[in-house]
This record gives sequence, structure tokens and C-alpha cells, in this order.
Amino acid sequence: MTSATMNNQPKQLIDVQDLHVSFRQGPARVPAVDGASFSMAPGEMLALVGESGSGKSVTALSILGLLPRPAALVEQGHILFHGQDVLGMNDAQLRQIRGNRISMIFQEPMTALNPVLTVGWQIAEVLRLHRGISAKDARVQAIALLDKVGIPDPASRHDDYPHQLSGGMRQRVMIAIALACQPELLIADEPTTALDVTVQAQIMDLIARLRHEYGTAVLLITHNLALVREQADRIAVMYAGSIVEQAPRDELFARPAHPYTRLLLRSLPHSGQRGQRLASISGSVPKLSDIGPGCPFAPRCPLAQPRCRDERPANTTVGEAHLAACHFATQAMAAAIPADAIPAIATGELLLDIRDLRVWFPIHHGFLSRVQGHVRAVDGVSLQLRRGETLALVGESGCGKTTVGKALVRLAKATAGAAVLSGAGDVLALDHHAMHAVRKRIQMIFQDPFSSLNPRLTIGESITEGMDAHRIGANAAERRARAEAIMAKVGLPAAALGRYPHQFSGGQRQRIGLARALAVEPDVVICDECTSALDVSVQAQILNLLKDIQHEFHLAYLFITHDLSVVGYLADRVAVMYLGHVVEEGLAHEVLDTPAHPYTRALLAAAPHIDGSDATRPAPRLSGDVPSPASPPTGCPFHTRCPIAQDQCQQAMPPQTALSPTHHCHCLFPQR
Amino acid sequence: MHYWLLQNSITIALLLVLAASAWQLSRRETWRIAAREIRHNRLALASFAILALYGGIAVLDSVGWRRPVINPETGDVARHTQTGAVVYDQGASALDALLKPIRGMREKTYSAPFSDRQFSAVTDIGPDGRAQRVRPPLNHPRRHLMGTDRVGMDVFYQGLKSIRTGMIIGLLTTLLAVPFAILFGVCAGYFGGWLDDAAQYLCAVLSSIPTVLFIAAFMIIFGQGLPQLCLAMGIASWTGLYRLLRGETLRLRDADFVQAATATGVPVWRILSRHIVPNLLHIVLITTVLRFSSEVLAEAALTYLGIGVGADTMSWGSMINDARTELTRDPVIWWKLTTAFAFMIGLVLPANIFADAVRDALDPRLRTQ
Repeated sequence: MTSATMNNQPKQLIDVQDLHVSFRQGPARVPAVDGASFSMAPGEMLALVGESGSGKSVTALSILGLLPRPAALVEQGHILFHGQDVLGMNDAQLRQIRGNRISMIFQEPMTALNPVLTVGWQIAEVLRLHRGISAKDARVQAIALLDKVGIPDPASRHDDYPHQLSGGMRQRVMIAIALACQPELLIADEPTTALDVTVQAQIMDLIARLRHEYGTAVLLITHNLALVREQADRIAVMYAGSIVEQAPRDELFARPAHPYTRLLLRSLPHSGQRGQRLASISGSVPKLSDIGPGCPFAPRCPLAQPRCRDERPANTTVGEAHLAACHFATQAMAAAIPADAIPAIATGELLLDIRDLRVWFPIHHGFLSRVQGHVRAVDGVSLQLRRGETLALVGESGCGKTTVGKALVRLAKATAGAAVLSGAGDVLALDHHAMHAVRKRIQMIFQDPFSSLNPRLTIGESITEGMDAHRIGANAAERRARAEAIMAKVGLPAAALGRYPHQFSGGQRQRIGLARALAVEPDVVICDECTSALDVSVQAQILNLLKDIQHEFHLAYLFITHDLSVVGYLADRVAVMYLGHVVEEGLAHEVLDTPAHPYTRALLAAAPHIDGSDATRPAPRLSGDVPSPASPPTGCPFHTRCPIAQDQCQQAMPPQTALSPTHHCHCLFPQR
Repeated sequence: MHYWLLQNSITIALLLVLAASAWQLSRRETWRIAAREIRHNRLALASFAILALYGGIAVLDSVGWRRPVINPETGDVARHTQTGAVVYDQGASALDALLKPIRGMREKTYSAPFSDRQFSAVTDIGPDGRAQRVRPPLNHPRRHLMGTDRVGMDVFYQGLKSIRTGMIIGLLTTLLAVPFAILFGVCAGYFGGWLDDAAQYLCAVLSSIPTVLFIAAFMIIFGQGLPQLCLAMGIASWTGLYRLLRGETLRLRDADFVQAATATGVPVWRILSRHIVPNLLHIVLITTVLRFSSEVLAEAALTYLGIGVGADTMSWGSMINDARTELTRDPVIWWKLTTAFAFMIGLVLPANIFADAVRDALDPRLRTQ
């Protein structure tokens, strides 16, 4: 790159040209980024969107020279920052840029801050390092920054340690550190993935506000297309190490050109797709080492032609500033895949009746570990579940939704209440022997596909284990045959039974988790966030599978999730939980379309929507965090954050208000 | 012949148990795959060969017999004057019989490896009547691979004879400590409650007693000897592994796959044996092998304090203990320490390499095929 060409693009803040990065794995080199090119103008927000393994984080780390050495190797390419190649800089030059002119926010606010230093000190450190100001001035500036990122009472928070702050507050502190030197470029790597929806919305608003205030360009790295819909100026979609499509935001959402982008957009579940099968992309993101000479998406592309497998497509201009790396990008592809309907499931008899369930965890303190109080994880929850029905239990982290699921299978001990399973009596009061028979009927699928399977057992051993315990099948051969049949149902080959969990992708493992649950012929399956760890395209596959399986076996699902878009697609009924209480319950369309409780309204407002209807948000965003369940507020648990709270809300828990025969909420001022 | 069987019953029983458990394991799929995996690992194979050699020597040294003492004058079997029982000699192991040529090669005192002369000079009256300092020639010149010690015994022979002591200390202590650590660690971690409290208090009490003091007291009460030493060291050393296993079990207990198994109704003993213990094995293997080496070293330290194995048992510890004074001489007598060191490294290093290979082979995530 000569200086002449550099002067031709004076406007570009950063220009990534044909970046190739690979990782050493033993003697082999596995590519991670395979020819990524993009550029950003000052003050622009570019969203780099891709599924896990697409190389988006590696691209970001290369900009800051933070690639792990010597494992990672930049094979070729340039990253020009103001026309200077970052890749050629030495450590001293890079340190001048890092945190000063380019800074970064990481995904996990829990580990990104040093736990033994106060947050104020960590902000001041950056200022003293790059601005060389005195400790006293740094303190003043750090407090000002804390105020700017919306931390209440910044002067006293300055001397707090990270553990004293909530996840959302820590992410605010991270942003304060990143923006301390007013950088020209902020790289945000999945900044809200670890946060709840209401907090996610706060953080995204904060980034947007500060971006305009400081004129900082933002490179937002995310897997969440809906999040990008609101704030990004331009979007670049990454797949298998290269950028397959980039366009201004509205252009991309209106006229996606690459089949991958089209499918990704269509595989996002929302309530408009009820009763339809989600468009899912078969298979999962390939390893870059397995990709042939052709288009990396060709093996999963429903429109792939022979040419796609042999020839790498170049960037084609589809519209204004709209590039797509596809041979057929300019051809109309609207009728790519027809959406087929899923037959509606008739709900049957009442299977599970949960009455006033309470799970309190004792807090032990002091001499002889006396009980000093209780964490009221679940505090009086009543729900009914019918055969063939999906009941979604929705709430933010810490609201007790997972504890409800665990109490039903007695992984957590219920303090009070009953859960009557038809034909078996109260599950929570059964003795050990009777409970063993019930375990067969209530099964659970877990969130993390990587920790839910024993790494040292083959898939076959994991699946037949439950059959062994319940003496299903006369002998080992019969159980094996049954396991093979179940594997076929969840879409995996019988040969998979002899393999170990690490040989499968996340989506495949979640299929195995479902197969393990189905092996004992349950009536109720508790799905605990079972799609939230998966990529969007894989999530669609699993959601489709869950629907098919429910139809075939006439199962009841208790679907525990924080993701409202999945709820709208999958659930028949929805129960919204806050601080151990169900605040609103009703049919899915009732709760999602006409929410009555202010918390439900806020939750729906905070969730990013793909259809772009967020311009007319029905309710303001929530401020603050969920109070601790160890010392819940008196009266209505939500009154501390409620925009319409009155004095009487603090007096007592609001009684149940019926809005329709199927829809009720606990609020003194329900909104209709 | 039956005398021979009787005298070696413990060794034979141990060998039979070992063979039986090896046969049992070889029928299991996981271990068969692991064995295949190890066969492809040259370093592990070499380590195994060295370990087998050490093991073979230890077994040979454990198989022995005593012969009746023959009265040299009458040619009859000697009998106790009062009881009339047959008097036996000190006894010799199979290894002693094999090493007889080396054992017999006695010198007067120190000699360097492969030397043909004694290490220290003596004053001698030469043929001309003048006193002169000479280094007298050895009885067995250039035959001592690692030289001889103060009393003229072959050092290499001592090293070989110490193998059995080292192996017994390493293995017996481990065999005593590991089952305790697994039992307490897994139960305390998985069941929690009063069981956890009890195990924690027991562990805290044991750890608060200084190890050396505990072993010294133990040896004073129960007498000095190899079995007592192993027992004392075993009791004193299970707490470290116990803590590791308890912590890991606590983590595993809340792992989703254990919760899933519980929710499916898998019995507790099956959860422990299929889900918890196999996922602890890597810790057990590594700790065991690391401990194996530190226990061989601890034996040396204890011998130095005079509470190790008895003076009549050859061990690397006692060799190192002897070398203490030799190292202060000028010129330094280095070969006894070096020999003990080389023999110990020769055992500990392959043990580490082999244990690593076994751990990797047992982990399905790390298998190459």
C-alpha cells in the first residue's frame, strides 16, 4: 500500500483489507479468518454479525493486535488505522493506540474487571497511563465518567469493588474505561450477550448516546441480528471467516441478497410465525479447514449450483454500498423456501398442577452456621400444565424460573406448596421409592449443551442409562434398538450412539439431550433455556424439532426462557416471572400482544425486534436492576422499578386480576 | 518346595490380585481402547518398559527363600539347642542369587566408578624402605560400575537392592492413601451435610499434626520397619488428595450431566461410579504419581532423621543419607548420591510420563482415533 492510495481514502478511519488469520493446532494450521475486508468511516457504527466460529471476534482482536501468540498467525492482509498498518506495529506503538485511540468492551463483565481493585482505580489507570494526569485529577474525571455512563451516586461507587456491582453496572464501568480517553474507535465484542434483556436495552442505549456525544466509531460484534436492527449504520454479515454481505442497515433488512443472510433473517423466531415451521439452515457452521475451493456456504445453501462448489464467489454490487459474495446475488430469490405449516396440537387433560410453590434457600452465617435469612427464589407460584401444551416461563436471570423447573424434578428442595402430577399425587411430597417412578414421567433438558453430557460416556451409554434405571426394554439389545429409534426421531444417525459428546456440535448435543429425555417416555419435558446457547440457525432447527416431537409424543413442555421471540413462536401460554412471583399469565397472544403488567410491557419493549417496529415502543425502558431475592421489596415486588407505582403498591402483594378467562395478572393498575 | 511357597505367599497373592484386576480391566471397552491408544505412543511404551523392568526387579527381590544352616563340621542340618527347631540362614531373594557375582565383589573402602585403584591413599613402606602414599589396587579393578562405598560395597548393587524398598514405599503408601481419599472425598463432596463436616474435621485434625512428628511417633509406637513406615505415610498423606477430590466432586455434583442423571432416576451408586469417579480419575492419576515421587523423597528425609526404614534395609533414602558426609569431603565422593538420584529419576520420570499417557488415553476428548 503506497501513500498515494492512502491519501485517496482520507475518510476511512479503519480499513481491513483481505485479512487472513489462522491458528496453529499441532502441525496443522486452521484458518479462522479467511479474507475479510471492510472499512469504517469516523463516527460510524458497523455491526459485524455472525454465528459462533465465523471469525468475527478474531477479526476484532487482530485490529488491536491482541491475537494470542504464537498460536495465531496473520497470514496476509492489512489493517489500516488512519492509513497506518496496525499489523506492522511493535508493542510500544500498539500500546499507544490500545485503550487510547481504539478501545474494547468484552462480552463478560464479570471477568473483565480486576476483582481486587476498585472500579474507580481501574478507570483512573487508563487516564493516568494515556493522559499522564495526576491521581487527584484522575479521580475527578473517573467520577465524571461514572456519572456519564449512568451509574447512580458515582462518588461513592468510585470506591466500590467489582463484586459490589451488578452485571449491568459492571458493563457500564467497562464502557467508562473504554471511553475514558475518548477513542476514535470502540470495539464492542458481544457487549450485551451476558446481560438480561432490560439491561441489554439500557446498555445499547448508553452506547448509542455516548457514540453521538463523543463522535466515536463503534464496531459492534454480535450474533444477534435483532440487536443490530436498532442502532447500526451498516451491517457486515460474516460466515466461515469471510464477509458474505455488507450493506447499510435498512438496505440489508429490506433486500438481503446473500442466501445466508436471507435464511438467517427468516430463522429468527417471532410470534408472526406461530404454526409455521421456521426456515432453518441445515447443518452447522463448518470448520474452516473443511471448506473446499468454492463458496463456504455452498454445503448448507438450498440454492447452491455446481458452480458454487468449485468457484469462490467475488463481491458483487447489488445496490448502493451493498455488496454480497454470491454468484447469484442479483437474481431474485424471494421464493427460496416455502414455509410449511405445523399441525396444531390439541391440548388434553391436566397433567401437572403446581400450587403455591415456594423454594427458599437458607442463608447461613456466623457461629455454627445459623440460618440468618432466606433467598426467596420462588415465592408462591401456581401454574397448570396440560398434555400437548407448551407453557413458557419467562423472566430475567434471578427471577426463579429455573428453580421452579428444578423443584419439579426435586433437584431443588421445595419449601412449601404442591405439584400434583395426574395419577401420581404431589410430586414434592413423594417418598424416595414413589419418586423414582415419577422421574420417568418428568424429564429435563438443560441449557448448556457442553456440560449436560458426561464427556466420558458414549452417547449410547448416556441414552440407555435412563432406560436401565427404569427397566424399559427387556435386555440390552432391546434398549439399544430403542435408542437407535429415538436417535432417528431427533435426526441423528444410529452410528452416533458409539461416539462421545465432544465429537458433536452444540446443536447436535441438544438433540442428544432431547433423545436422552425421550428415552424414558416422559409426559412432561422441562426445557431450561435449551436453545439460548445455540446459534440462530441451529436454534431454529431445535425449535422445529421440539414442535415435531411434541406433536408426535403429545408431550407437555414447560419452556423456561428469557428470550421473548422464542416464546412468541413456540408457546401456547406464557407466564411472566419477576422475583419469584408470576406477575402475569395468559395465552401467548394475550400476554404478548396485550400485556397488562408494567413489567411484561417493559420486557417486551426492551427485547429487540427484527421487524423494525421499535420506533413506537409501548413503554419506557426499565431503569436499575432486579432487587436481591434475599431481601425482596415489600408489597408488589416490582414497585421499585415500576414506572406507574403508587404508594399502595408497597403495602401488599396485589391480588390476582382477571382480564379474560385465560389471562390474569397481579397488578393494581393493569393496563388494557 | 512347600517352604518356598509359604515364605512367598504374600508376594504370590499380590501378583495374583494384580493379574486378576488386569484381566478384569482388559475386558472393559474403555480400557481396551486406552491400551490401544498407549500402544501407539512410543514414549509411553518406553516408559512402560522401564517401569516393567523396575517392577520385575522388585518382584525378584521379593521372592526369596531361606536355607537350613548346615553345620560345617558334621554336615548335618543345624538345630536349635533347646527347641530342636531347624536353624535357617539369613535368607536371600532371587535377585540376590542373580547378583551374587556383584555382591561378592568387596573392596576395603571407597573407590571411584570403573577405577582400578582405591580412592584414598594409604601409607606404605616402599621397597627402598621409605614411607610413601600410594593408592592400593582393588580386588576387582574396573568392575564397579558405580564405584564402592565406605565399607567397600558395590554402589550399583545397593541401588538395585533399593528398588524394592522404593517401589514398596511408593505403591503401598499410595494404595493405602488413594482409596481413603476417594471414599472420603467423593462422599463428602456428593452427600455434603454432616458427612462433609465430619470428613473436614478429621482432615483438619490430621493436617494440623506435623507429618514428620506424626510418623516419628508412629514408628516409635509400632516399631521401625517398612510396613509401619508405609502405613504412617499413608495415613499422613491422604488429606491433600482428599481436598482436591472433594472440591472437584462439589463442582461435578452441580454439573448438568449429573443433574440430568439424577432427574432421570439413576441410582446414587451408579451416579457415583459412572458420572463422578471417572471424571475424577485424571486428578487421582496425576496426584498419585506426583505423590509417588515425593514419598520416595520423603523416605530419604525420614531416614536422615533416623525414623525411616531400618538400618538393615537398603534404600535410596539411606544412600542419600550416607552421601551427606561424603559430599563434605574433598575431593567429593559423588557417586553414591548420583547413583541413588539416577535410580530415583529412572523410576519417577517414566512413572510420570506413563501416567500422563494413561490419563490422556482414558479421556475420550483427547483420543487420536
